[in-house]
Amino acid sequence: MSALLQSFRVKYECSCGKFRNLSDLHFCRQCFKIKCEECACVEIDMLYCARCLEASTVPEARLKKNQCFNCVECPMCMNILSGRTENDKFFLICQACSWQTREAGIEDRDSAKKWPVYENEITNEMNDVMNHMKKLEMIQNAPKDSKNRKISKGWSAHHLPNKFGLQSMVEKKRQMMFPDLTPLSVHEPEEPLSLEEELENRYKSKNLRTADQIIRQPLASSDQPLFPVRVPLQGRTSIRCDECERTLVKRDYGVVAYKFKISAFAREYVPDIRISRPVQFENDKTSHVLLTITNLSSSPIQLKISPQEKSRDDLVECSTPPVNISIPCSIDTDTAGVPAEKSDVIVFRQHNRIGLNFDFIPNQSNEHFLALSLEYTQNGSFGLLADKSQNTEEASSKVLKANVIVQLHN
Amino acid sequence: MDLGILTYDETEWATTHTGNKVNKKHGITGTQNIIIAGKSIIEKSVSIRGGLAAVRIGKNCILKSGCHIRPCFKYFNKKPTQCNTIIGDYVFMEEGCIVNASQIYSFVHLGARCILGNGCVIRECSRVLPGSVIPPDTIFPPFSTIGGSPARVIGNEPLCTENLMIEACTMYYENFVPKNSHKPSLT
Repeated sequence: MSALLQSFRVKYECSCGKFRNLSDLHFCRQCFKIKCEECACVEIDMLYCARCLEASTVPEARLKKNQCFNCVECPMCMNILSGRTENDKFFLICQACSWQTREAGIEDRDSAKKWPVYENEITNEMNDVMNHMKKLEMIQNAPKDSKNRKISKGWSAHHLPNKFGLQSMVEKKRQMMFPDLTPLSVHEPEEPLSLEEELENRYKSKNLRTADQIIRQPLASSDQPLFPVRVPLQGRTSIRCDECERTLVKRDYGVVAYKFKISAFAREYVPDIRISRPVQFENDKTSHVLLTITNLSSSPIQLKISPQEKSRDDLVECSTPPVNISIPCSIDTDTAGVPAEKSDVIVFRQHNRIGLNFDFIPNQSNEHFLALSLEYTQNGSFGLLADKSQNTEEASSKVLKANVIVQLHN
Repeated sequence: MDLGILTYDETEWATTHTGNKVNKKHGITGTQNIIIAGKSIIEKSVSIRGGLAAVRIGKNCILKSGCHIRPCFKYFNKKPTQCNTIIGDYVFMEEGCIVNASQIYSFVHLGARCILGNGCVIRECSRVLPGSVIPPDTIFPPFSTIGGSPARVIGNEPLCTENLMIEACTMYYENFVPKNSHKPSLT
Protein backbone atom coordinates (compact mmCIF):
# COMPACT_ATOMS: atom_id res chain seq x y z
CA MET A 1 0.00 0.00 0.00
CA SER A 2 2.97 2.23 0.49
CA ALA A 3 3.17 2.31 -3.32
CA LEU A 4 -0.34 3.73 -3.67
CA LEU A 5 0.15 6.39 -1.02
CA GLN A 6 3.74 7.00 -2.20
CA SER A 7 4.92 6.96 1.38
CA PHE A 8 8.53 6.54 0.17
CA ARG A 9 8.56 10.27 -0.59
CA VAL A 10 8.65 11.22 3.08
CA LYS A 11 11.52 9.83 5.13
CA TYR A 12 11.91 10.09 8.89
CA GLU A 13 15.22 9.97 10.68
CA CYS A 14 15.62 6.95 12.93
CA SER A 15 17.55 7.21 16.21
CA CYS A 16 20.42 5.42 14.43
CA GLY A 17 20.66 8.24 11.86
CA LYS A 18 19.17 6.47 8.84
CA PHE A 19 16.22 7.90 6.95
CA ARG A 20 13.32 5.50 6.44
CA ASN A 21 9.61 5.39 5.65
CA LEU A 22 7.37 6.03 8.63
CA SER A 23 5.61 2.71 8.07
CA ASP A 24 8.90 0.83 8.57
CA LEU A 25 9.68 2.53 11.89
CA HIS A 26 8.76 1.69 15.48
CA PHE A 27 8.55 3.86 18.55
CA CYS A 28 9.79 2.80 21.98
CA ARG A 29 7.38 4.21 24.56
CA GLN A 30 9.91 3.90 27.35
CA CYS A 31 12.98 5.45 25.73
CA PHE A 32 10.92 7.92 23.61
CA LYS A 33 13.01 7.01 20.58
CA ILE A 34 12.26 6.02 17.01
CA LYS A 35 13.68 2.61 16.17
CA CYS A 36 14.10 0.82 12.88
CA GLU A 37 14.60 -2.89 12.32
CA GLU A 38 18.34 -2.40 11.93
CA CYS A 39 18.99 -0.65 15.22
CA ALA A 40 16.49 -2.67 17.28
CA CYS A 41 16.98 -6.32 18.26
CA VAL A 42 15.22 -8.64 15.85
CA GLU A 43 14.49 -12.04 17.34
CA ILE A 44 13.22 -15.19 15.72
CA ASP A 45 9.79 -15.88 17.09
CA MET A 46 8.78 -18.94 15.16
CA LEU A 47 10.06 -21.17 12.36
CA TYR A 48 7.73 -22.16 9.58
CA CYS A 49 7.59 -23.35 6.01
CA ALA A 50 6.43 -20.55 3.73
CA ARG A 51 4.95 -23.02 1.24
CA CYS A 52 2.70 -25.15 3.47
CA LEU A 53 2.52 -22.68 6.40
CA GLU A 54 3.40 -25.39 8.92
CA ALA A 55 5.23 -24.31 12.08
CA SER A 56 8.11 -26.33 13.47
CA THR A 57 9.95 -26.19 16.77
CA VAL A 58 13.65 -25.39 16.99
CA PRO A 59 14.88 -28.95 17.78
CA GLU A 60 12.65 -30.29 15.02
CA ALA A 61 14.03 -27.74 12.57
CA ARG A 62 17.59 -28.64 13.55
CA LEU A 63 16.84 -32.29 12.96
CA LYS A 64 15.39 -31.48 9.54
CA LYS A 65 18.41 -29.29 8.68
CA ASN A 66 16.11 -26.22 8.59
CA GLN A 67 14.17 -27.63 5.68
CA CYS A 68 10.57 -28.65 5.24
CA PHE A 69 10.29 -32.36 4.47
CA ASN A 70 6.83 -32.10 2.92
CA CYS A 71 7.43 -29.40 0.30
CA VAL A 72 9.85 -29.49 -2.59
CA GLU A 73 10.62 -26.81 -5.14
CA CYS A 74 11.36 -27.06 -8.83
CA PRO A 75 15.15 -26.98 -9.40
CA MET A 76 14.64 -24.97 -12.60
CA CYS A 77 12.23 -22.15 -11.74
CA MET A 78 11.95 -22.42 -7.91
CA ASN A 79 8.20 -22.86 -8.01
CA ILE A 80 6.50 -25.37 -5.72
CA LEU A 81 6.12 -28.86 -7.18
CA SER A 82 2.76 -30.58 -7.02
CA GLY A 83 2.14 -34.31 -6.96
CA ARG A 84 0.38 -36.27 -9.69
CA THR A 85 -0.64 -39.93 -9.72
CA GLU A 86 -0.38 -42.40 -12.54
CA ASN A 87 -1.05 -46.11 -12.01
CA ASP A 88 -1.23 -45.49 -8.24
CA LYS A 89 2.31 -44.09 -8.21
CA PHE A 90 3.34 -40.52 -7.58
CA PHE A 91 5.50 -38.17 -9.54
CA LEU A 92 6.02 -34.42 -9.18
CA ILE A 93 5.37 -31.75 -11.76
CA CYS A 94 6.05 -28.01 -11.81
CA GLN A 95 2.98 -26.09 -12.93
CA ALA A 96 5.02 -23.11 -14.11
CA CYS A 97 7.69 -24.73 -16.33
CA SER A 98 6.32 -28.32 -16.68
CA TRP A 99 9.49 -29.87 -15.27
CA GLN A 100 8.89 -33.41 -14.00
CA THR A 101 10.75 -35.68 -11.63
CA ARG A 102 10.88 -38.19 -14.48
CA GLU A 103 13.20 -35.82 -16.33
CA ALA A 104 15.73 -36.17 -13.52
CA GLY A 105 15.56 -39.94 -13.85
CA ILE A 106 13.66 -40.41 -10.60
CA GLU A 107 11.23 -43.31 -10.78
CA ASP A 108 7.62 -42.84 -9.68
CA ARG A 109 7.14 -43.53 -5.98
CA ASP A 110 4.54 -45.00 -3.67
CA SER A 111 4.32 -41.87 -1.52
CA ALA A 112 4.42 -38.19 -2.50
CA LYS A 113 6.94 -37.45 0.27
CA LYS A 114 10.65 -38.18 0.71
CA TRP A 115 12.25 -37.42 -2.60
CA PRO A 116 15.97 -38.03 -3.02
CA VAL A 117 18.46 -35.23 -2.45
CA TYR A 118 22.20 -35.13 -2.97
CA GLU A 119 24.08 -35.93 0.23
CA ASN A 120 27.67 -35.05 0.93
CA GLU A 121 29.85 -38.07 0.19
CA ILE A 122 31.93 -37.69 3.30
CA THR A 123 28.99 -37.29 5.73
CA ASN A 124 29.80 -40.57 7.53
CA GLU A 125 33.46 -39.68 7.80
CA MET A 126 32.53 -36.25 9.19
CA ASN A 127 30.24 -37.84 11.78
CA ASP A 128 33.03 -40.21 12.87
CA VAL A 129 35.41 -37.29 13.32
CA MET A 130 32.78 -35.36 15.30
CA ASN A 131 32.25 -38.33 17.65
CA HIS A 132 36.00 -38.72 18.08
CA MET A 133 36.38 -35.05 18.96
CA LYS A 134 33.56 -35.33 21.50
CA LYS A 135 35.34 -38.23 23.20
CA LEU A 136 38.56 -36.21 23.30
CA GLU A 137 36.66 -33.31 24.87
CA MET A 138 35.29 -35.65 27.54
CA ILE A 139 38.77 -36.90 28.41
CA GLN A 140 40.07 -33.36 28.57
CA ASN A 141 37.33 -32.28 30.93
CA ALA A 142 37.43 -35.40 33.14
CA PRO A 143 39.96 -34.07 35.72
CA LYS A 144 37.94 -30.87 36.03
CA ASP A 145 34.70 -32.77 36.54
CA SER A 146 36.17 -35.08 39.16
CA LYS A 147 37.60 -32.07 41.02
CA ASN A 148 34.19 -30.48 41.22
CA ARG A 149 32.70 -33.60 42.76
CA LYS A 150 32.59 -33.58 46.54
CA ILE A 151 34.04 -36.96 47.43
CA SER A 152 36.51 -37.46 50.23
CA LYS A 153 39.89 -38.56 48.95
CA GLY A 154 40.29 -41.38 51.44
CA TRP A 155 37.22 -43.21 50.27
CA SER A 156 37.19 -45.23 47.13
CA ALA A 157 34.66 -47.67 45.82
CA HIS A 158 37.50 -50.01 44.84
CA HIS A 159 37.73 -51.17 48.43
CA LEU A 160 34.16 -52.34 48.48
CA PRO A 161 33.44 -55.98 47.96
CA ASN A 162 31.52 -56.58 44.75
CA LYS A 163 28.56 -57.78 46.71
CA PHE A 164 25.87 -55.32 45.70
CA GLY A 165 27.11 -54.61 42.18
CA LEU A 166 28.60 -51.29 43.26
CA GLN A 167 31.95 -52.09 41.73
CA SER A 168 30.50 -52.49 38.25
CA MET A 169 28.54 -49.25 38.61
CA VAL A 170 31.68 -47.31 39.47
CA GLU A 171 33.54 -49.00 36.66
CA LYS A 172 30.83 -47.98 34.19
CA LYS A 173 30.98 -44.39 35.30
CA ARG A 174 34.74 -44.48 34.99
CA GLN A 175 34.48 -45.79 31.48
CA MET A 176 32.07 -43.03 30.57
CA MET A 177 34.57 -40.47 31.76
CA PHE A 178 37.46 -42.11 29.93
CA PRO A 179 35.98 -43.60 26.74
CA ASP A 180 38.02 -45.94 24.60
CA LEU A 181 39.69 -44.26 21.69
CA THR A 182 40.13 -46.00 18.40
CA PRO A 183 42.30 -43.97 16.08
CA LEU A 184 40.58 -42.88 12.89
CA SER A 185 42.03 -43.32 9.47
CA VAL A 186 43.42 -40.16 7.98
CA HIS A 187 41.26 -38.47 5.38
CA GLU A 188 42.91 -38.56 2.01
CA PRO A 189 42.14 -35.43 0.07
CA GLU A 190 41.34 -35.72 -3.58
CA GLU A 191 42.90 -33.51 -6.14
CA PRO A 192 40.23 -30.85 -6.89
CA LEU A 193 39.44 -29.92 -10.45
CA SER A 194 41.08 -26.78 -11.67
CA LEU A 195 38.84 -23.85 -12.52
CA GLU A 196 39.49 -24.31 -16.25
CA GLU A 197 38.53 -27.97 -16.13
CA GLU A 198 35.39 -27.28 -14.15
CA LEU A 199 34.27 -24.54 -16.52
CA GLU A 200 34.98 -26.80 -19.47
CA ASN A 201 32.90 -29.59 -17.91
CA ARG A 202 30.09 -27.19 -17.31
CA TYR A 203 30.23 -25.94 -20.86
CA LYS A 204 30.31 -29.47 -22.27
CA SER A 205 27.25 -30.65 -20.34
CA LYS A 206 24.00 -30.46 -22.26
CA ASN A 207 22.12 -28.28 -19.82
CA LEU A 208 23.79 -25.03 -18.94
CA ARG A 209 22.75 -24.00 -15.45
CA THR A 210 22.13 -20.61 -13.98
CA ALA A 211 24.00 -19.44 -10.91
CA ASP A 212 20.79 -19.76 -8.86
CA GLN A 213 20.37 -23.38 -9.82
CA ILE A 214 23.97 -24.21 -8.94
CA ILE A 215 23.82 -22.39 -5.59
CA ARG A 216 20.65 -24.20 -4.59
CA GLN A 217 22.22 -27.61 -5.29
CA PRO A 218 25.96 -27.26 -4.81
CA LEU A 219 26.42 -31.00 -4.32
CA ALA A 220 25.14 -31.88 -7.80
CA SER A 221 28.02 -32.04 -10.23
CA SER A 222 27.58 -30.72 -13.76
CA ASP A 223 26.96 -34.19 -15.27
CA GLN A 224 24.35 -35.20 -12.67
CA PRO A 225 20.68 -34.22 -13.10
CA LEU A 226 19.11 -31.70 -10.75
CA PHE A 227 16.79 -33.11 -8.08
CA PRO A 228 13.81 -31.44 -6.38
CA VAL A 229 14.98 -28.95 -3.73
CA ARG A 230 13.62 -29.01 -0.21
CA VAL A 231 12.07 -25.73 0.90
CA PRO A 232 14.13 -23.89 3.51
CA LEU A 233 12.27 -22.87 6.67
CA GLN A 234 11.67 -19.21 7.36
CA GLY A 235 11.76 -17.31 10.61
CA ARG A 236 9.02 -15.02 11.83
CA THR A 237 10.51 -12.20 13.83
CA SER A 238 9.57 -10.10 16.81
CA ILE A 239 11.27 -6.78 17.52
CA ARG A 240 12.72 -5.61 20.83
CA CYS A 241 14.20 -2.23 21.79
CA ASP A 242 17.99 -2.50 22.03
CA GLU A 243 18.22 -0.09 24.99
CA CYS A 244 15.43 -0.98 27.39
CA GLU A 245 14.83 -4.48 25.97
CA ARG A 246 11.09 -4.05 25.89
CA THR A 247 9.15 -5.71 23.10
CA LEU A 248 8.08 -3.35 20.32
CA VAL A 249 6.35 -5.75 17.98
CA LYS A 250 5.11 -9.26 18.66
CA ARG A 251 2.59 -11.08 16.51
CA ASP A 252 -0.25 -13.26 17.75
CA TYR A 253 0.35 -16.98 18.10
CA GLY A 254 0.05 -18.92 14.85
CA VAL A 255 1.89 -18.85 11.54
CA VAL A 256 -0.88 -17.11 9.63
CA ALA A 257 -1.68 -14.53 12.34
CA TYR A 258 -1.56 -10.98 11.06
CA LYS A 259 -2.75 -9.24 14.24
CA PHE A 260 -0.37 -8.17 16.96
CA LYS A 261 -0.12 -8.95 20.65
CA ILE A 262 2.16 -5.97 21.13
CA SER A 263 2.71 -3.26 18.54
CA ALA A 264 4.37 0.13 18.72
CA PHE A 265 4.36 1.49 15.19
CA ALA A 266 5.89 4.92 14.79
CA ARG A 267 2.92 6.21 12.80
CA GLU A 268 0.75 5.86 15.93
CA TYR A 269 3.04 8.16 17.93
CA VAL A 270 4.77 10.48 15.45
CA PRO A 271 2.80 13.01 13.32
CA ASP A 272 2.35 11.53 9.85
CA ILE A 273 3.43 13.93 7.08
CA ARG A 274 2.29 13.41 3.51
CA ILE A 275 2.43 15.37 0.26
CA SER A 276 -1.15 16.26 -0.64
CA ARG A 277 -0.90 17.28 -4.29
CA PRO A 278 1.78 16.95 -6.99
CA VAL A 279 4.27 19.81 -6.70
CA GLN A 280 4.52 22.35 -9.55
CA PHE A 281 8.02 23.69 -10.04
CA GLU A 282 8.74 27.12 -11.44
CA ASN A 283 12.39 27.86 -12.03
CA ASP A 284 13.82 30.53 -9.73
CA LYS A 285 10.32 31.45 -8.59
CA THR A 286 8.66 30.68 -5.32
CA SER A 287 6.82 27.36 -5.57
CA HIS A 288 4.34 25.83 -3.14
CA VAL A 289 3.98 22.41 -1.60
CA LEU A 290 0.89 21.33 0.31
CA LEU A 291 1.66 18.92 3.13
CA THR A 292 -0.99 17.19 5.23
CA ILE A 293 -0.12 16.29 8.79
CA THR A 294 -2.17 13.60 10.49
CA ASN A 295 -2.23 12.75 14.17
CA LEU A 296 -2.91 9.03 14.44
CA SER A 297 -2.08 8.84 18.15
CA SER A 298 -4.61 8.59 20.94
CA SER A 299 -3.86 12.03 22.40
CA PRO A 300 -3.66 15.59 21.01
CA ILE A 301 -0.28 16.77 19.73
CA GLN A 302 1.34 20.18 20.13
CA LEU A 303 3.56 20.49 17.10
CA LYS A 304 6.21 22.93 15.92
CA ILE A 305 7.40 22.49 12.34
CA SER A 306 10.43 24.41 11.25
CA PRO A 307 12.14 24.12 7.86
CA GLN A 308 15.83 23.35 8.12
CA GLU A 309 18.54 25.48 6.61
CA LYS A 310 20.03 24.56 3.26
CA SER A 311 23.01 22.42 4.21
CA ARG A 312 23.20 20.28 1.07
CA ASP A 313 22.96 21.05 -2.64
CA ASP A 314 19.82 19.00 -3.24
CA LEU A 315 17.89 20.69 -0.43
CA VAL A 316 15.54 23.53 -1.33
CA GLU A 317 15.44 26.84 0.45
CA CYS A 318 12.19 27.26 2.36
CA SER A 319 10.98 30.74 3.19
CA THR A 320 8.06 29.74 5.47
CA PRO A 321 8.64 30.62 9.14
CA PRO A 322 8.27 27.90 11.82
CA VAL A 323 4.65 26.91 12.47
CA ASN A 324 3.11 26.11 15.85
CA ILE A 325 -0.09 24.06 15.70
CA SER A 326 -2.10 21.70 17.84
CA ILE A 327 -3.68 18.66 16.19
CA PRO A 328 -6.57 16.85 17.88
CA CYS A 329 -6.39 13.07 18.12
CA SER A 330 -8.30 10.72 15.87
CA ILE A 331 -10.98 10.08 18.55
CA ASP A 332 -12.06 13.76 18.53
CA THR A 333 -13.51 13.69 15.06
CA ASP A 334 -16.14 16.42 15.57
CA THR A 335 -14.29 19.05 13.56
CA ALA A 336 -15.53 18.65 10.02
CA GLY A 337 -13.51 19.84 7.04
CA VAL A 338 -13.36 23.62 7.20
CA PRO A 339 -11.05 26.13 5.59
CA ALA A 340 -8.92 27.18 8.49
CA GLU A 341 -8.31 30.51 10.17
CA LYS A 342 -6.85 33.26 8.03
CA SER A 343 -3.30 32.15 7.69
CA ASP A 344 -0.92 31.81 4.79
CA VAL A 345 0.44 28.56 6.08
CA ILE A 346 -2.52 26.61 7.47
CA VAL A 347 -4.79 25.74 4.54
CA PHE A 348 -7.41 23.51 6.16
CA ARG A 349 -8.26 21.52 9.26
CA GLN A 350 -10.19 18.29 8.97
CA HIS A 351 -10.67 15.94 11.92
CA ASN A 352 -7.16 14.95 12.93
CA ARG A 353 -5.58 16.30 9.73
CA ILE A 354 -4.13 19.69 9.00
CA GLY A 355 -3.02 21.01 5.62
CA LEU A 356 0.04 23.26 5.57
CA ASN A 357 1.39 25.28 2.69
CA PHE A 358 5.14 25.70 2.43
CA ASP A 359 6.84 28.14 0.08
CA PHE A 360 10.21 27.24 -1.35
CA ILE A 361 12.58 28.22 -4.13
CA PRO A 362 13.59 25.23 -6.29
CA ASN A 363 17.31 24.67 -6.70
CA GLN A 364 19.18 24.28 -9.97
CA SER A 365 19.49 20.48 -9.96
CA ASN A 366 16.75 18.00 -10.85
CA GLU A 367 16.42 16.74 -7.31
CA HIS A 368 14.50 18.74 -4.76
CA PHE A 369 14.30 17.77 -1.11
CA LEU A 370 12.69 19.69 1.72
CA ALA A 371 14.14 19.12 5.19
CA LEU A 372 11.86 19.74 8.18
CA SER A 373 12.40 19.34 11.87
CA LEU A 374 9.49 18.48 14.13
CA GLU A 375 9.20 19.22 17.83
CA TYR A 376 6.12 17.84 19.47
CA THR A 377 4.62 17.11 22.86
CA GLN A 378 1.83 14.75 23.62
CA ASN A 379 -0.22 14.72 26.75
CA GLY A 380 -2.72 12.26 28.14
CA SER A 381 -2.40 8.57 27.49
CA PHE A 382 1.09 8.83 26.11
CA GLY A 383 2.53 9.93 29.43
CA LEU A 384 0.76 7.17 31.29
CA LEU A 385 2.46 4.62 29.13
CA ALA A 386 5.89 5.83 30.20
CA ASP A 387 7.98 4.02 32.76
CA LYS A 388 6.41 4.26 36.20
CA SER A 389 9.68 5.32 37.79
CA GLN A 390 9.58 8.47 35.68
CA ASN A 391 7.41 11.33 36.69
CA THR A 392 4.22 11.12 34.64
CA GLU A 393 3.93 14.84 34.21
CA GLU A 394 7.51 15.06 33.10
CA ALA A 395 6.90 12.31 30.56
CA SER A 396 3.77 13.94 29.16
CA SER A 397 5.46 17.31 28.69
CA LYS A 398 8.60 15.82 27.19
CA VAL A 399 9.51 17.51 23.92
CA LEU A 400 10.13 14.90 21.26
CA LYS A 401 12.06 15.62 18.09
CA ALA A 402 12.07 14.15 14.63
CA ASN A 403 13.80 15.07 11.40
CA VAL A 404 11.98 14.59 8.12
CA ILE A 405 13.08 14.80 4.50
CA VAL A 406 10.37 15.25 1.87
CA GLN A 407 11.09 14.33 -1.75
CA LEU A 408 9.34 17.02 -3.81
CA HIS A 409 10.20 15.78 -7.31
CA ASN A 410 8.58 12.69 -8.81
CA MET B 1 0.79 11.36 -1.35
CA ASP B 2 -2.89 11.79 -0.57
CA LEU B 3 -5.30 10.28 -3.07
CA GLY B 4 -6.98 13.00 -5.08
CA ILE B 5 -10.68 13.43 -5.73
CA LEU B 6 -12.00 11.28 -8.61
CA THR B 7 -15.28 12.24 -10.23
CA TYR B 8 -17.60 9.99 -12.17
CA ASP B 9 -20.66 10.43 -14.37
CA GLU B 10 -23.72 9.40 -12.38
CA THR B 11 -25.55 8.16 -15.46
CA GLU B 12 -22.87 5.53 -16.05
CA TRP B 13 -22.77 4.22 -12.51
CA ALA B 14 -25.19 2.35 -10.28
CA THR B 15 -25.11 2.61 -6.50
CA THR B 16 -26.57 -0.11 -4.31
CA HIS B 17 -28.14 0.45 -0.89
CA THR B 18 -25.05 -1.03 0.78
CA GLY B 19 -22.92 1.67 -0.85
CA ASN B 20 -21.40 -0.39 -3.68
CA LYS B 21 -20.67 1.64 -6.79
CA VAL B 22 -20.76 -0.42 -9.98
CA ASN B 23 -20.13 0.82 -13.50
CA LYS B 24 -22.97 -0.13 -15.82
CA LYS B 25 -20.55 -1.28 -18.53
CA HIS B 26 -19.51 -4.32 -16.58
CA GLY B 27 -19.25 -7.99 -17.49
CA ILE B 28 -20.74 -9.47 -14.34
CA THR B 29 -22.64 -12.71 -14.90
CA GLY B 30 -24.53 -14.92 -12.49
CA THR B 31 -25.42 -12.14 -10.10
CA GLN B 32 -27.37 -14.49 -7.82
CA ASN B 33 -24.04 -16.16 -6.96
CA ILE B 34 -22.15 -12.95 -6.17
CA ILE B 35 -22.09 -11.29 -2.76
CA ILE B 36 -20.42 -7.91 -2.36
CA ALA B 37 -20.39 -6.76 1.25
CA GLY B 38 -20.56 -3.00 0.71
CA LYS B 39 -18.73 0.23 -0.07
CA SER B 40 -16.88 -1.45 -2.93
CA ILE B 41 -16.09 0.18 -6.26
CA ILE B 42 -16.32 -1.89 -9.43
CA GLU B 43 -15.06 -0.01 -12.47
CA LYS B 44 -15.68 -0.29 -16.19
CA SER B 45 -15.32 -3.65 -17.98
CA VAL B 46 -14.74 -5.68 -14.85
CA SER B 47 -15.98 -9.21 -15.33
CA ILE B 48 -16.97 -11.54 -12.51
CA ARG B 49 -17.98 -15.04 -13.57
CA GLY B 50 -20.60 -15.74 -10.92
CA GLY B 51 -22.24 -18.24 -13.25
CA LEU B 52 -19.46 -20.78 -12.63
CA ALA B 53 -19.42 -20.73 -8.81
CA ALA B 54 -20.09 -18.37 -5.91
CA VAL B 55 -17.92 -15.26 -5.55
CA ARG B 56 -17.81 -13.39 -2.25
CA ILE B 57 -16.16 -9.98 -2.08
CA GLY B 58 -15.62 -8.18 1.23
CA LYS B 59 -16.23 -4.56 2.09
CA ASN B 60 -14.27 -1.53 0.84
CA CYS B 61 -12.72 -3.43 -2.09
CA ILE B 62 -11.65 -1.56 -5.20
CA LEU B 63 -11.66 -3.36 -8.55
CA LYS B 64 -10.19 -1.13 -11.23
CA SER B 65 -11.06 -1.39 -14.90
CA GLY B 66 -10.40 -4.59 -16.80
CA CYS B 67 -10.19 -6.92 -13.80
CA HIS B 68 -11.37 -10.43 -14.43
CA ILE B 69 -12.46 -12.67 -11.57
CA ARG B 70 -13.15 -16.30 -12.34
CA PRO B 71 -13.74 -19.05 -9.76
CA CYS B 72 -11.05 -21.72 -9.70
CA PHE B 73 -11.62 -25.39 -10.41
CA LYS B 74 -10.25 -28.41 -8.67
CA TYR B 75 -10.10 -32.04 -9.72
CA PHE B 76 -12.10 -34.37 -7.52
CA ASN B 77 -12.28 -37.99 -8.73
CA LYS B 78 -10.81 -36.93 -12.06
CA LYS B 79 -13.65 -34.49 -12.69
CA PRO B 80 -13.10 -30.76 -12.49
CA THR B 81 -15.38 -28.99 -9.99
CA GLN B 82 -15.71 -25.23 -9.79
CA CYS B 83 -14.85 -23.90 -6.34
CA ASN B 84 -15.95 -20.68 -4.71
CA THR B 85 -13.73 -17.62 -4.74
CA ILE B 86 -13.49 -15.54 -1.58
CA ILE B 87 -11.98 -12.07 -1.54
CA GLY B 88 -11.49 -10.39 1.83
CA ASP B 89 -12.02 -6.81 2.97
CA TYR B 90 -9.96 -3.81 1.84
CA VAL B 91 -8.51 -5.48 -1.26
CA PHE B 92 -7.19 -3.14 -3.94
CA MET B 93 -6.94 -4.50 -7.49
CA GLU B 94 -5.25 -2.35 -10.09
CA GLU B 95 -6.10 -2.39 -13.80
CA GLY B 96 -6.19 -5.60 -15.81
CA CYS B 97 -5.73 -8.21 -13.07
CA ILE B 98 -6.78 -11.75 -13.90
CA VAL B 99 -7.82 -13.50 -10.70
CA ASN B 100 -8.34 -17.24 -10.77
CA ALA B 101 -7.44 -17.64 -7.12
CA SER B 102 -9.25 -19.68 -4.56
CA GLN B 103 -8.91 -17.13 -1.78
CA ILE B 104 -7.51 -13.65 -1.38
CA TYR B 105 -7.46 -12.59 2.25
CA SER B 106 -7.94 -9.04 3.55
CA PHE B 107 -5.66 -6.01 3.04
CA VAL B 108 -4.08 -7.33 -0.17
CA HIS B 109 -2.84 -5.00 -2.93
CA LEU B 110 -2.68 -6.50 -6.42
CA GLY B 111 -0.52 -4.56 -8.87
CA ALA B 112 -1.56 -3.80 -12.45
CA ARG B 113 -1.83 -6.66 -14.95
CA CYS B 114 -0.89 -9.42 -12.55
CA ILE B 115 -2.17 -12.93 -13.12
CA LEU B 116 -3.22 -15.17 -10.25
CA GLY B 117 -3.21 -18.83 -11.26
CA ASN B 118 -5.80 -21.46 -10.56
CA GLY B 119 -6.44 -22.14 -6.86
CA CYS B 120 -3.72 -19.95 -5.36
CA VAL B 121 -4.12 -18.43 -1.89
CA ILE B 122 -2.76 -15.05 -0.83
CA ARG B 123 -2.79 -14.36 2.90
CA GLU B 124 -3.35 -11.05 4.63
CA CYS B 125 -1.39 -7.81 4.17
CA SER B 126 0.50 -9.00 1.07
CA ARG B 127 1.33 -7.09 -2.07
CA VAL B 128 1.64 -8.52 -5.57
CA LEU B 129 3.94 -6.45 -7.76
CA PRO B 130 2.67 -5.29 -11.17
CA GLY B 131 2.97 -7.83 -13.96
CA SER B 132 3.72 -10.86 -11.79
CA VAL B 133 2.42 -14.27 -12.70
CA ILE B 134 1.46 -16.53 -9.80
CA PRO B 135 1.50 -20.22 -10.77
CA PRO B 136 -1.44 -22.46 -9.83
CA ASP B 137 -1.88 -23.93 -6.32
CA THR B 138 0.64 -21.72 -4.56
CA ILE B 139 0.19 -20.32 -1.06
CA PHE B 140 1.80 -17.14 0.22
CA PRO B 141 2.22 -16.24 3.90
CA PRO B 142 1.05 -12.90 5.41
CA PHE B 143 3.14 -9.75 4.93
CA SER B 144 4.90 -10.96 1.77
CA THR B 145 5.84 -8.93 -1.28
CA ILE B 146 5.25 -11.20 -4.25
CA GLY B 147 6.82 -10.65 -7.63
CA GLY B 148 8.31 -12.25 -10.74
CA SER B 149 7.20 -14.89 -13.19
CA PRO B 150 6.77 -17.49 -11.72
CA ALA B 151 6.09 -15.36 -8.67
CA ARG B 152 8.04 -15.79 -5.45
CA VAL B 153 8.23 -14.01 -2.14
CA ILE B 154 10.84 -11.32 -2.70
CA GLY B 155 10.44 -9.21 0.41
CA ASN B 156 8.32 -8.19 3.34
CA GLU B 157 5.60 -5.61 3.63
CA PRO B 158 5.62 -3.13 6.53
CA LEU B 159 3.96 -4.52 9.63
CA CYS B 160 1.37 -1.72 9.75
CA THR B 161 0.02 -2.62 6.28
CA GLU B 162 -3.42 -3.31 7.77
CA ASN B 163 -3.80 0.32 8.91
CA LEU B 164 -2.35 1.66 5.65
CA MET B 165 -4.76 -0.39 3.52
CA ILE B 166 -7.79 0.63 5.59
CA GLU B 167 -6.73 4.26 5.27
CA ALA B 168 -6.09 4.08 1.52
CA CYS B 169 -9.22 2.13 0.57
CA THR B 170 -11.45 4.35 2.74
CA MET B 171 -9.83 7.48 1.31
CA TYR B 172 -10.31 6.20 -2.24
CA TYR B 173 -14.00 5.48 -1.60
CA GLU B 174 -14.64 8.83 0.06
CA ASN B 175 -12.90 10.75 -2.73
CA PHE B 176 -14.81 8.88 -5.45
CA VAL B 177 -17.72 11.28 -5.96
CA PRO B 178 -20.29 12.11 -8.68
CA LYS B 179 -19.39 14.93 -11.05
CA ASN B 180 -22.10 17.33 -9.98
CA SER B 181 -21.87 16.81 -6.24
CA HIS B 182 -20.08 19.38 -4.16
CA LYS B 183 -17.60 17.51 -2.10
CA PRO B 184 -15.87 20.31 -0.23
CA SER B 185 -12.48 20.45 -1.85
CA LEU B 186 -10.20 21.61 0.89
CA THR B 187 -7.41 22.78 -1.33
